[in-house]
Amino acid sequence: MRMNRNYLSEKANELAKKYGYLPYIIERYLLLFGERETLSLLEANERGLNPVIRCNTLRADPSDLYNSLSARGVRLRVSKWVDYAFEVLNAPFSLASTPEYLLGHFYIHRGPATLLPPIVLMPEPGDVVIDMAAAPGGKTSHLAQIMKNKGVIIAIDIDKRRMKSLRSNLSRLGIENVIAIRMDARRVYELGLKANKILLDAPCSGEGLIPIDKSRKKSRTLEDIKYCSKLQEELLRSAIKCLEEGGEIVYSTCSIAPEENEFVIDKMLKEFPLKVVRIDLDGDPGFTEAFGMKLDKSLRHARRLYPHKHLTEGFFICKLRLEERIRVR
Amino acid sequence: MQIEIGGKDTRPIVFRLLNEGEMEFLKKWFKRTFNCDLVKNILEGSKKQLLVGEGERKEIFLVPKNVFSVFKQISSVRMPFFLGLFLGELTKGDFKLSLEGAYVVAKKCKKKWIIVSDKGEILFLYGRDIMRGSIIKWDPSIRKGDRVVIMNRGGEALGVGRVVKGLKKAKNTDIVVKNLIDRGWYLRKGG
Repeated sequence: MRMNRNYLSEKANELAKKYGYLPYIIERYLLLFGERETLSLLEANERGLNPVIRCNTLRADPSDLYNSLSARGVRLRVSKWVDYAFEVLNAPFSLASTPEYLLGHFYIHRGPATLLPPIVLMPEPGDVVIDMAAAPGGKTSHLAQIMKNKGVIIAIDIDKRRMKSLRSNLSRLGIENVIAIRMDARRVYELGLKANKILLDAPCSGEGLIPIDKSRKKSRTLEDIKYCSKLQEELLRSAIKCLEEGGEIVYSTCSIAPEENEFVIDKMLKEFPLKVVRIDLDGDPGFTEAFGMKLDKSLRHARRLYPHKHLTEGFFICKLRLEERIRVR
Repeated sequence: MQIEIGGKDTRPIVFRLLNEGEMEFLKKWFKRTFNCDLVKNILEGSKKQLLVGEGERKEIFLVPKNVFSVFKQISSVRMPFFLGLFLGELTKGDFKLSLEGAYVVAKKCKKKWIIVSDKGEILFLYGRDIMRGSIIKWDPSIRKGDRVVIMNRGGEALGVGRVVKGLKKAKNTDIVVKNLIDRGWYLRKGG
Protein backbone atom coordinates (compact mmCIF):
# COMPACT_ATOMS: atom_id res chain seq x y z
CA MET A 1 0.00 0.00 0.00
CA ARG A 2 1.66 3.21 -1.10
CA MET A 3 1.04 6.51 0.59
CA ASN A 4 2.65 9.86 -0.07
CA ARG A 5 5.26 10.53 2.65
CA ASN A 6 3.95 14.00 3.51
CA TYR A 7 0.35 12.86 3.56
CA LEU A 8 1.30 9.90 5.76
CA SER A 9 3.05 12.13 8.24
CA GLU A 10 0.25 14.71 8.31
CA LYS A 11 -2.43 12.05 8.66
CA ALA A 12 -0.49 10.28 11.41
CA ASN A 13 -0.12 13.53 13.34
CA GLU A 14 -3.78 14.36 12.91
CA LEU A 15 -4.98 10.96 14.14
CA ALA A 16 -2.39 10.81 16.88
CA LYS A 17 -3.68 14.12 18.22
CA LYS A 18 -7.32 13.09 17.90
CA TYR A 19 -6.94 9.68 19.60
CA GLY A 20 -4.06 10.53 21.96
CA TYR A 21 -1.27 8.35 20.51
CA LEU A 22 2.39 8.88 19.82
CA PRO A 23 2.48 9.72 16.06
CA TYR A 24 4.94 6.94 15.16
CA ILE A 25 2.38 4.30 16.20
CA ILE A 26 -0.27 5.71 13.86
CA GLU A 27 2.23 6.09 11.05
CA ARG A 28 3.04 2.39 11.34
CA TYR A 29 -0.67 1.47 11.40
CA LEU A 30 -1.23 3.51 8.25
CA LEU A 31 1.61 1.73 6.51
CA LEU A 32 0.47 -1.71 7.61
CA PHE A 33 -3.29 -1.42 7.32
CA GLY A 34 -4.14 1.64 5.22
CA GLU A 35 -6.26 4.58 6.32
CA ARG A 36 -9.71 3.03 6.54
CA GLU A 37 -8.65 0.03 8.59
CA THR A 38 -6.46 2.18 10.84
CA LEU A 39 -9.52 4.25 11.69
CA SER A 40 -11.51 1.10 12.49
CA LEU A 41 -8.69 -0.12 14.73
CA LEU A 42 -8.43 3.21 16.56
CA GLU A 43 -12.18 3.31 17.12
CA ALA A 44 -12.21 -0.28 18.39
CA ASN A 45 -9.37 0.52 20.78
CA GLU A 46 -11.54 3.30 22.22
CA ARG A 47 -14.43 0.92 22.86
CA GLY A 48 -12.37 -1.24 25.22
CA LEU A 49 -12.78 -4.92 25.90
CA ASN A 50 -14.68 -7.01 28.41
CA PRO A 51 -12.69 -9.35 30.63
CA VAL A 52 -13.18 -13.07 30.23
CA ILE A 53 -13.45 -15.72 32.90
CA ARG A 54 -12.27 -19.24 32.21
CA CYS A 55 -13.97 -21.97 34.16
CA ASN A 56 -11.41 -24.19 35.87
CA THR A 57 -12.89 -27.51 34.81
CA LEU A 58 -10.62 -29.28 37.30
CA ARG A 59 -12.86 -27.86 40.04
CA ALA A 60 -16.13 -26.72 38.51
CA ASP A 61 -18.62 -27.36 35.77
CA PRO A 62 -19.01 -24.45 33.31
CA SER A 63 -22.81 -24.45 33.41
CA ASP A 64 -22.82 -24.53 37.23
CA LEU A 65 -20.41 -21.60 37.26
CA TYR A 66 -22.55 -19.70 34.77
CA ASN A 67 -25.64 -20.29 36.92
CA SER A 68 -24.07 -19.41 40.25
CA LEU A 69 -22.50 -16.17 38.99
CA SER A 70 -25.70 -15.23 37.15
CA ALA A 71 -27.60 -15.71 40.40
CA ARG A 72 -25.24 -13.17 41.98
CA GLY A 73 -26.14 -10.65 39.28
CA VAL A 74 -23.15 -11.13 36.97
CA ARG A 75 -24.03 -10.95 33.25
CA LEU A 76 -22.05 -13.44 31.20
CA ARG A 77 -21.94 -14.58 27.60
CA VAL A 78 -20.34 -17.82 26.41
CA SER A 79 -17.06 -17.03 24.67
CA LYS A 80 -16.91 -17.65 20.95
CA TRP A 81 -13.47 -19.19 21.42
CA VAL A 82 -14.12 -21.93 24.00
CA ASP A 83 -17.32 -23.15 25.62
CA TYR A 84 -15.83 -23.15 29.13
CA ALA A 85 -15.04 -19.41 29.08
CA PHE A 86 -17.41 -16.48 29.47
CA GLU A 87 -17.22 -12.85 28.48
CA VAL A 88 -18.14 -10.67 31.46
CA LEU A 89 -20.73 -8.17 30.22
CA ASN A 90 -21.43 -6.68 33.61
CA ALA A 91 -20.38 -7.42 37.17
CA PRO A 92 -21.87 -5.42 40.06
CA PHE A 93 -18.79 -6.18 42.23
CA SER A 94 -15.25 -7.48 41.92
CA LEU A 95 -15.39 -11.04 40.63
CA ALA A 96 -12.27 -11.83 42.66
CA SER A 97 -14.31 -11.43 45.84
CA THR A 98 -16.81 -14.18 45.00
CA PRO A 99 -16.70 -17.59 46.70
CA GLU A 100 -16.47 -19.16 43.23
CA TYR A 101 -13.24 -17.29 42.51
CA LEU A 102 -11.76 -18.01 45.93
CA LEU A 103 -12.64 -21.70 45.58
CA GLY A 104 -10.70 -21.84 42.31
CA HIS A 105 -13.69 -22.27 40.01
CA PHE A 106 -12.38 -19.72 37.52
CA TYR A 107 -9.51 -17.54 36.37
CA ILE A 108 -9.96 -13.97 35.18
CA HIS A 109 -8.34 -13.10 31.83
CA ARG A 110 -8.07 -9.45 30.81
CA GLY A 111 -9.16 -10.29 27.27
CA PRO A 112 -10.19 -13.29 25.17
CA ALA A 113 -7.02 -13.71 23.09
CA THR A 114 -5.02 -14.93 26.08
CA LEU A 115 -7.21 -18.04 26.06
CA LEU A 116 -5.83 -19.08 22.72
CA PRO A 117 -2.14 -20.10 23.07
CA PRO A 118 -2.85 -23.14 25.31
CA ILE A 119 -5.72 -24.19 23.03
CA VAL A 120 -3.49 -23.96 19.96
CA LEU A 121 -0.69 -25.86 21.72
CA MET A 122 -3.26 -28.47 22.91
CA PRO A 123 -1.02 -30.59 25.14
CA GLU A 124 -1.99 -34.14 26.09
CA PRO A 125 -2.26 -35.29 29.71
CA GLY A 126 1.07 -37.17 29.54
CA ASP A 127 3.12 -34.44 27.89
CA VAL A 128 6.13 -32.60 29.27
CA VAL A 129 5.43 -28.94 28.57
CA ILE A 130 7.57 -25.87 29.13
CA ASP A 131 5.85 -22.55 29.71
CA MET A 132 8.61 -20.03 29.10
CA ALA A 133 7.00 -16.89 30.57
CA ALA A 134 4.59 -18.36 33.05
CA ALA A 135 3.64 -15.78 35.69
CA PRO A 136 1.04 -14.89 36.85
CA GLY A 137 -0.31 -18.24 35.70
CA GLY A 138 -3.27 -17.73 33.36
CA LYS A 139 -1.80 -19.80 30.58
CA THR A 140 -0.01 -22.26 32.86
CA SER A 141 -3.23 -23.07 34.68
CA HIS A 142 -5.07 -23.33 31.37
CA LEU A 143 -2.44 -25.81 30.13
CA ALA A 144 -2.82 -27.80 33.36
CA GLN A 145 -6.58 -27.82 32.90
CA ILE A 146 -6.27 -29.10 29.33
CA MET A 147 -3.83 -31.75 30.58
CA LYS A 148 -6.29 -32.73 33.34
CA ASN A 149 -3.62 -31.98 35.98
CA LYS A 150 -1.50 -34.85 34.55
CA GLY A 151 1.88 -34.80 32.82
CA VAL A 152 4.40 -32.15 33.79
CA ILE A 153 4.59 -28.40 33.16
CA ILE A 154 7.86 -26.59 33.74
CA ALA A 155 6.80 -23.00 34.42
CA ILE A 156 9.59 -20.47 34.06
CA ASP A 157 9.60 -16.82 35.04
CA ILE A 158 12.26 -14.44 36.24
CA ASP A 159 10.29 -11.97 38.33
CA LYS A 160 10.07 -12.86 42.01
CA ARG A 161 6.89 -10.90 42.73
CA ARG A 162 5.14 -12.44 39.74
CA MET A 163 6.35 -15.89 40.82
CA LYS A 164 4.46 -15.39 44.06
CA SER A 165 1.33 -14.58 42.06
CA LEU A 166 1.95 -17.72 40.01
CA ARG A 167 2.14 -19.79 43.17
CA SER A 168 -1.00 -18.22 44.60
CA ASN A 169 -3.00 -18.68 41.40
CA LEU A 170 -1.93 -22.26 40.77
CA SER A 171 -2.60 -23.13 44.38
CA ARG A 172 -6.05 -21.56 44.34
CA LEU A 173 -6.91 -23.49 41.18
CA GLY A 174 -5.67 -26.79 42.64
CA ILE A 175 -2.92 -27.30 40.06
CA GLU A 176 -0.39 -29.92 41.06
CA ASN A 177 1.50 -30.88 37.87
CA VAL A 178 3.76 -27.81 37.77
CA ILE A 179 7.41 -27.30 38.63
CA ALA A 180 7.94 -23.54 38.86
CA ILE A 181 11.46 -22.30 38.31
CA ARG A 182 12.61 -18.75 38.76
CA MET A 183 15.23 -18.13 36.12
CA ASP A 184 16.03 -16.26 32.96
CA ALA A 185 14.18 -18.27 30.31
CA ARG A 186 16.90 -17.43 27.81
CA ARG A 187 18.94 -20.06 29.68
CA VAL A 188 16.22 -22.68 29.99
CA TYR A 189 18.15 -25.15 27.81
CA GLU A 190 20.69 -25.38 30.67
CA LEU A 191 18.13 -27.50 32.53
CA GLY A 192 18.91 -30.26 30.03
CA LEU A 193 15.23 -31.01 29.48
CA LYS A 194 13.55 -31.97 26.24
CA ALA A 195 9.87 -31.13 25.95
CA ASN A 196 7.38 -32.11 23.29
CA LYS A 197 5.34 -28.95 23.73
CA ILE A 198 6.53 -25.43 24.54
CA LEU A 199 4.54 -22.28 25.08
CA LEU A 200 6.27 -18.95 24.63
CA ASP A 201 3.86 -16.12 25.23
CA ALA A 202 6.69 -13.69 24.95
CA PRO A 203 7.18 -10.47 26.88
CA CYS A 204 6.30 -7.72 24.42
CA SER A 205 5.59 -4.04 23.95
CA GLY A 206 1.92 -4.76 24.67
CA GLU A 207 0.77 -2.68 21.74
CA GLY A 208 -2.24 -4.94 21.35
CA LEU A 209 -3.42 -4.15 24.87
CA ILE A 210 -4.46 -0.57 24.11
CA PRO A 211 -8.20 -1.45 24.35
CA ILE A 212 -7.52 -2.53 27.96
CA ASP A 213 -4.75 -0.14 28.95
CA LYS A 214 -4.96 3.25 27.27
CA SER A 215 -1.65 4.39 28.76
CA ARG A 216 0.05 2.23 26.15
CA LYS A 217 -0.89 4.75 23.47
CA LYS A 218 2.03 6.83 24.68
CA SER A 219 4.15 4.70 26.96
CA ARG A 220 6.08 2.64 24.39
CA THR A 221 8.62 3.87 21.89
CA LEU A 222 10.10 2.33 18.78
CA GLU A 223 13.16 1.54 20.89
CA ASP A 224 10.95 -0.57 23.16
CA ILE A 225 9.76 -2.57 20.18
CA LYS A 226 13.36 -3.13 19.06
CA TYR A 227 14.35 -4.16 22.58
CA CYS A 228 11.43 -6.60 22.83
CA SER A 229 12.17 -8.02 19.41
CA LYS A 230 15.74 -8.88 20.41
CA LEU A 231 14.57 -10.45 23.68
CA GLN A 232 11.90 -12.44 21.84
CA GLU A 233 14.47 -13.83 19.43
CA GLU A 234 16.69 -14.93 22.29
CA LEU A 235 13.77 -16.54 24.12
CA LEU A 236 12.53 -18.37 21.06
CA ARG A 237 16.01 -19.59 20.20
CA SER A 238 16.37 -20.94 23.73
CA ALA A 239 12.95 -22.60 23.53
CA ILE A 240 13.79 -24.31 20.25
CA LYS A 241 16.87 -25.85 21.86
CA CYS A 242 14.62 -27.57 24.42
CA LEU A 243 12.32 -29.10 21.85
CA GLU A 244 12.23 -32.77 20.93
CA GLU A 245 12.31 -33.71 17.27
CA GLY A 246 8.71 -33.39 16.07
CA GLY A 247 7.87 -31.22 19.08
CA GLU A 248 5.84 -28.05 18.79
CA ILE A 249 6.15 -24.49 20.02
CA VAL A 250 3.38 -21.95 20.19
CA TYR A 251 4.76 -18.44 20.02
CA SER A 252 2.44 -15.57 20.84
CA THR A 253 2.50 -11.92 21.83
CA CYS A 254 -0.07 -9.28 22.66
CA SER A 255 1.58 -7.00 20.13
CA ILE A 256 0.67 -6.37 16.53
CA ALA A 257 4.13 -5.07 15.59
CA PRO A 258 5.64 -7.30 12.87
CA GLU A 259 9.09 -6.82 14.43
CA GLU A 260 7.86 -8.71 17.51
CA ASN A 261 6.11 -11.41 15.54
CA GLU A 262 6.69 -12.38 11.92
CA PHE A 263 10.21 -10.91 11.85
CA VAL A 264 11.17 -13.03 14.87
CA ILE A 265 9.71 -16.21 13.38
CA ASP A 266 11.21 -15.50 9.95
CA LYS A 267 14.66 -15.34 11.50
CA MET A 268 14.16 -18.66 13.34
CA LEU A 269 12.92 -20.33 10.14
CA LYS A 270 16.26 -19.43 8.59
CA GLU A 271 18.26 -20.74 11.58
CA PHE A 272 16.46 -23.96 12.48
CA PRO A 273 14.64 -26.82 10.72
CA LEU A 274 11.22 -25.51 11.68
CA LYS A 275 7.90 -25.62 9.93
CA VAL A 276 5.01 -23.22 10.49
CA VAL A 277 1.96 -25.32 11.34
CA ARG A 278 -1.45 -24.22 10.10
CA ILE A 279 -3.70 -22.98 12.90
CA ASP A 280 -7.39 -23.67 12.67
CA LEU A 281 -8.53 -20.42 14.24
CA ASP A 282 -10.50 -17.37 13.23
CA GLY A 283 -8.07 -14.54 12.50
CA ASP A 284 -6.12 -12.78 9.79
CA PRO A 285 -3.15 -14.56 8.23
CA GLY A 286 0.32 -13.56 9.39
CA PHE A 287 2.21 -11.05 7.26
CA THR A 288 4.46 -12.38 4.51
CA GLU A 289 5.63 -8.87 3.78
CA ALA A 290 5.81 -5.82 6.06
CA PHE A 291 7.59 -2.47 5.96
CA GLY A 292 9.24 -3.50 2.69
CA MET A 293 10.59 -6.78 4.08
CA LYS A 294 9.77 -10.02 2.27
CA LEU A 295 9.14 -12.83 4.75
CA ASP A 296 8.73 -16.61 4.60
CA LYS A 297 5.49 -17.42 2.77
CA SER A 298 4.50 -20.03 5.34
CA LEU A 299 3.96 -17.21 7.86
CA ARG A 300 0.51 -16.86 6.36
CA HIS A 301 -0.39 -19.87 8.56
CA ALA A 302 0.18 -17.73 11.67
CA ARG A 303 -2.78 -15.77 12.99
CA ARG A 304 -3.27 -12.08 13.76
CA LEU A 305 -6.19 -10.92 15.87
CA TYR A 306 -7.46 -7.36 16.06
CA PRO A 307 -9.96 -5.49 18.24
CA HIS A 308 -11.87 -4.16 15.21
CA LYS A 309 -12.15 -7.51 13.43
CA HIS A 310 -12.10 -10.26 16.02
CA LEU A 311 -13.18 -8.35 19.15
CA THR A 312 -10.02 -9.34 21.01
CA GLU A 313 -6.93 -7.52 22.15
CA GLY A 314 -4.35 -7.18 19.37
CA PHE A 315 -2.62 -10.55 19.28
CA PHE A 316 -0.27 -12.70 17.24
CA ILE A 317 0.00 -16.47 17.42
CA CYS A 318 2.12 -18.94 15.49
CA LYS A 319 2.71 -22.67 15.85
CA LEU A 320 6.05 -24.16 14.87
CA ARG A 321 7.18 -27.78 14.56
CA LEU A 322 10.79 -28.90 14.82
CA GLU A 323 11.33 -31.17 11.83
CA GLU A 324 14.77 -32.53 12.73
CA ARG A 325 16.78 -33.03 15.88
CA ILE A 326 19.16 -30.15 16.56
CA ARG A 327 22.47 -30.09 18.36
CA VAL A 328 22.50 -27.78 21.38
CA ARG A 329 25.63 -25.73 21.93
CA MET B 1 21.94 -17.97 43.06
CA GLN B 2 19.62 -17.50 46.01
CA ILE B 3 16.08 -18.62 45.47
CA GLU B 4 13.41 -17.38 47.78
CA ILE B 5 9.94 -18.54 48.53
CA GLY B 6 7.20 -16.80 50.46
CA GLY B 7 7.63 -13.32 51.87
CA LYS B 8 10.55 -13.18 54.25
CA ASP B 9 12.90 -15.99 53.35
CA THR B 10 16.48 -15.20 52.70
CA ARG B 11 17.92 -18.72 52.75
CA PRO B 12 17.92 -20.72 49.52
CA ILE B 13 15.18 -23.31 49.38
CA VAL B 14 16.23 -26.91 49.01
CA PHE B 15 13.62 -29.48 48.09
CA ARG B 16 14.03 -33.05 49.31
CA LEU B 17 12.05 -36.10 50.37
CA LEU B 18 10.79 -36.16 53.94
CA ASN B 19 13.07 -37.89 56.42
CA GLU B 20 11.75 -40.66 58.65
CA GLY B 21 11.09 -38.37 61.62
CA GLU B 22 9.14 -35.85 59.53
CA MET B 23 7.14 -38.62 57.90
CA GLU B 24 6.20 -40.18 61.23
CA PHE B 25 5.29 -36.79 62.65
CA LEU B 26 2.97 -36.03 59.74
CA LYS B 27 1.31 -39.43 59.87
CA LYS B 28 0.60 -38.98 63.56
CA TRP B 29 -0.53 -35.38 63.09
CA PHE B 30 -3.18 -36.27 60.52
CA LYS B 31 -4.30 -39.25 62.59
CA ARG B 32 -4.54 -37.15 65.75
CA THR B 33 -6.06 -34.05 64.16
CA PHE B 34 -8.43 -35.49 61.56
CA ASN B 35 -8.49 -39.16 62.60
CA CYS B 36 -7.23 -39.86 59.11
CA ASP B 37 -4.41 -41.90 57.51
CA LEU B 38 -3.92 -39.23 54.87
CA VAL B 39 -0.14 -39.57 54.54
CA LYS B 40 -0.32 -43.35 54.32
CA ASN B 41 -3.09 -43.07 51.74
CA ILE B 42 -1.15 -40.55 49.68
CA LEU B 43 2.00 -42.61 49.61
CA GLU B 44 0.42 -46.01 49.18
CA GLY B 45 -2.83 -45.41 47.40
CA SER B 46 -1.85 -42.88 44.77
CA LYS B 47 1.05 -42.01 42.58
CA LYS B 48 2.19 -39.11 44.70
CA GLN B 49 5.15 -38.13 46.79
CA LEU B 50 5.71 -35.72 49.67
CA LEU B 51 8.59 -33.26 49.45
CA VAL B 52 9.93 -30.68 51.89
CA GLY B 53 10.96 -27.26 50.65
CA GLU B 54 13.42 -26.26 53.33
CA GLY B 55 14.67 -22.73 53.79
CA GLU B 56 13.65 -20.39 56.58
CA ARG B 57 10.52 -22.53 56.74
CA LYS B 58 9.75 -26.16 56.12
CA GLU B 59 6.98 -26.38 53.57
CA ILE B 60 5.43 -29.68 52.54
CA PHE B 61 4.39 -30.24 48.92
CA LEU B 62 2.29 -33.01 47.47
CA VAL B 63 3.97 -33.99 44.20
CA PRO B 64 2.80 -36.46 41.53
CA LYS B 65 5.47 -39.07 40.85
CA ASN B 66 6.04 -38.06 37.23
CA VAL B 67 6.57 -34.46 38.39
CA PHE B 68 9.00 -35.83 40.97
CA SER B 69 10.92 -37.65 38.20
CA VAL B 70 11.40 -34.42 36.28
CA PHE B 71 12.33 -32.63 39.51
CA LYS B 72 15.11 -35.19 40.06
CA GLN B 73 16.43 -34.52 36.55
CA ILE B 74 16.66 -30.77 36.94
CA SER B 75 17.25 -30.16 40.64
CA SER B 76 21.02 -30.47 40.34
CA VAL B 77 20.94 -27.57 37.87
CA ARG B 78 18.23 -25.45 39.47
CA MET B 79 16.01 -25.83 42.53
CA PRO B 80 12.34 -25.01 41.93
CA PHE B 81 10.58 -22.00 43.37
CA PHE B 82 7.79 -24.41 44.22
CA LEU B 83 6.28 -27.60 42.80
CA GLY B 84 3.16 -29.70 43.14
CA LEU B 85 0.53 -28.71 45.67
CA PHE B 86 1.42 -26.86 48.89
CA LEU B 87 0.04 -29.04 51.69
CA GLY B 88 1.18 -27.08 54.73
CA GLU B 89 4.08 -25.98 56.87
CA LEU B 90 5.98 -27.93 59.49
CA THR B 91 6.61 -25.79 62.53
CA LYS B 92 8.09 -26.63 65.91
CA GLY B 93 5.95 -29.50 67.11
CA ASP B 94 3.02 -28.68 64.85
CA PHE B 95 1.82 -28.64 61.27
CA LYS B 96 -0.02 -25.68 59.73
CA LEU B 97 -2.42 -27.06 57.16
CA SER B 98 -2.57 -24.89 54.02
CA LEU B 99 -5.76 -23.94 52.20
CA GLU B 100 -5.15 -26.59 49.57
CA GLY B 101 -4.17 -29.02 52.31
CA ALA B 102 -7.61 -28.38 53.80
CA TYR B 103 -9.12 -29.05 50.37
CA VAL B 104 -7.35 -32.44 50.26
CA VAL B 105 -8.45 -33.23 53.83
CA ALA B 106 -12.06 -32.36 52.96
CA LYS B 107 -11.96 -34.84 50.08
CA LYS B 108 -10.03 -37.65 51.77
CA CYS B 109 -10.83 -37.48 55.49
CA LYS B 110 -14.22 -38.13 57.00
CA LYS B 111 -13.72 -36.56 60.42
CA LYS B 112 -13.53 -33.09 62.01
CA TRP B 113 -15.55 -31.10 59.55
CA ILE B 114 -18.21 -28.44 59.74
CA ILE B 115 -20.59 -27.37 56.98
CA VAL B 116 -21.74 -23.78 56.97
CA SER B 117 -24.66 -22.02 55.28
CA ASP B 118 -24.24 -19.81 52.18
CA LYS B 119 -24.22 -16.72 54.38
CA GLY B 120 -21.77 -18.34 56.77
CA GLU B 121 -19.57 -19.21 53.79
CA ILE B 122 -19.34 -15.59 52.68
CA LEU B 123 -18.65 -14.34 56.20
CA PHE B 124 -15.95 -16.98 56.80
CA LEU B 125 -14.30 -16.15 53.45
CA TYR B 126 -14.18 -12.53 54.58
CA GLY B 127 -12.14 -13.62 57.57
CA ARG B 128 -14.90 -13.80 60.18
CA ASP B 129 -15.27 -16.41 62.91
CA ILE B 130 -18.24 -18.76 62.74
CA MET B 131 -21.42 -18.34 64.75
CA ARG B 132 -23.44 -21.37 65.77
CA GLY B 133 -26.34 -20.14 63.61
CA SER B 134 -24.21 -20.45 60.44
CA ILE B 135 -23.52 -24.14 60.96
CA ILE B 136 -25.88 -26.52 59.22
CA LYS B 137 -24.09 -29.83 59.81
CA TRP B 138 -21.04 -31.11 61.67
CA ASP B 139 -19.08 -34.22 62.49
CA PRO B 140 -20.45 -35.37 65.87
CA SER B 141 -16.97 -36.32 67.11
CA ILE B 142 -15.97 -32.64 67.24
CA ARG B 143 -14.96 -31.36 70.67
CA LYS B 144 -13.94 -27.96 71.99
CA GLY B 145 -10.30 -27.27 71.05
CA ASP B 146 -10.39 -29.39 67.87
CA ARG B 147 -9.04 -28.11 64.60
CA VAL B 148 -11.73 -28.49 61.95
CA VAL B 149 -12.06 -28.10 58.19
CA ILE B 150 -14.81 -25.66 57.28
CA MET B 151 -16.79 -26.66 54.22
CA ASN B 152 -19.56 -25.16 52.14
CA ARG B 153 -22.72 -27.02 51.22
CA GLY B 154 -20.93 -28.46 48.18
CA GLY B 155 -18.30 -30.10 50.40
CA GLU B 156 -15.52 -27.74 49.30
CA ALA B 157 -13.02 -26.66 51.94
CA LEU B 158 -13.24 -22.96 52.78
CA GLY B 159 -10.44 -23.08 55.33
CA VAL B 160 -9.54 -24.24 58.81
CA GLY B 161 -10.89 -23.21 62.21
CA ARG B 162 -10.60 -24.10 65.86
CA VAL B 163 -13.66 -25.01 67.90
CA VAL B 164 -13.87 -22.63 70.87
CA LYS B 165 -17.26 -23.58 72.25
CA GLY B 166 -19.32 -26.77 72.38
CA LEU B 167 -21.72 -26.79 69.45
CA LYS B 168 -24.65 -28.55 71.08
CA LYS B 169 -25.32 -26.02 73.84
CA ALA B 170 -24.29 -22.83 72.02
CA LYS B 171 -26.80 -20.10 71.08
CA ASN B 172 -27.14 -19.08 67.44
CA THR B 173 -25.25 -15.85 68.01
CA ASP B 174 -22.34 -17.48 69.88
CA ILE B 175 -18.96 -17.64 68.15
CA VAL B 176 -18.18 -21.35 68.15
CA VAL B 177 -15.29 -21.63 65.66
CA LYS B 178 -12.34 -19.29 65.41
CA ASN B 179 -11.09 -18.65 61.90
CA LEU B 180 -7.48 -19.88 61.55
CA ILE B 181 -7.21 -19.54 57.78
CA ASP B 182 -9.77 -19.06 55.01
CA ARG B 183 -9.63 -18.90 51.22
CA GLY B 184 -10.23 -15.17 51.29
CA TRP B 185 -6.46 -15.14 51.83
CA TYR B 186 -6.09 -15.46 48.06
CA LEU B 187 -7.77 -12.10 47.67
CA ARG B 188 -6.26 -10.37 50.70
CA LYS B 189 -2.68 -11.60 50.40
CA GLY B 190 -2.37 -14.01 47.51
CA GLY B 191 -1.46 -11.57 44.78
